[in-house]
Amino acid sequence: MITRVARDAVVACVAIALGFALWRRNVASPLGVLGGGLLMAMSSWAIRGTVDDLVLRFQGLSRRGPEGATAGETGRKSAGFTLVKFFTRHGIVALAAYGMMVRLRLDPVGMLAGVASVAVAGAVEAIRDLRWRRLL
Amino acid sequence: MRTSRLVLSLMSVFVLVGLATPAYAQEAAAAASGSAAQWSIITAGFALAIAAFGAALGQGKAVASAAEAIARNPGAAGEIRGALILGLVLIESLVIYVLLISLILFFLNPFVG
Repeated sequence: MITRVARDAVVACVAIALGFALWRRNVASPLGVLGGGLLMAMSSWAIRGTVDDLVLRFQGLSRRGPEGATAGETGRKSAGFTLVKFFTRHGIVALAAYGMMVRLRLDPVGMLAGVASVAVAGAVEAIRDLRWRRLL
Repeated sequence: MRTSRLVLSLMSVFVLVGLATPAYAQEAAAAASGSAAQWSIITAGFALAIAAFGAALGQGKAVASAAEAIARNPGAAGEIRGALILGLVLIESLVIYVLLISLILFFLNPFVG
């Protein structure tokens, strides 16, 4: 499902960028849309990595049961590393947003539209799921 | 003797602060009067704070529910993980909207000519 949503988000982002290019007739707007999509991609990358680590941890703990505390030292260390990675990636996202908007002067409305591409992809996926259920 | 000196010094501090506050307030009021730029910066800060608060609440609830579900049924971890990632990304997208709007208000303020 995640792969499908990611693919839909890329398609939606490119389609919105083309729409902005035709509507505004400049380069900054479609680049802004792509920049917004890039921001969402970076944010998704950060969330995905952290969730993968957390799920692995939960699965390991539930397999080990109450004796899972034996792995406490290494578990604690890797939890800290996961958190550091998560916050570093989100810092990179904030820095990229600043750079795109203030330094590169990309179109802010385009960037907002680019961020919305993941919501469009989620909506497309929901509609697709509803249609499949209705067919079944 | 010592108590009265302490009371006297405290009273003098209060008087000084009481005299200084209206002076600062007048300066601030003069600087801020009719300035939409300053209000937009305050608004941006509050918007970001409220968005971060709401998103943290929602994401915390989502992660707690997912952790509980995976602990109850580790076999369904893959599906729960997918739903969790999608939910977190959608919540995060709302925060990024607000971040972008705050950046617009901070740096590209449309209210400043």
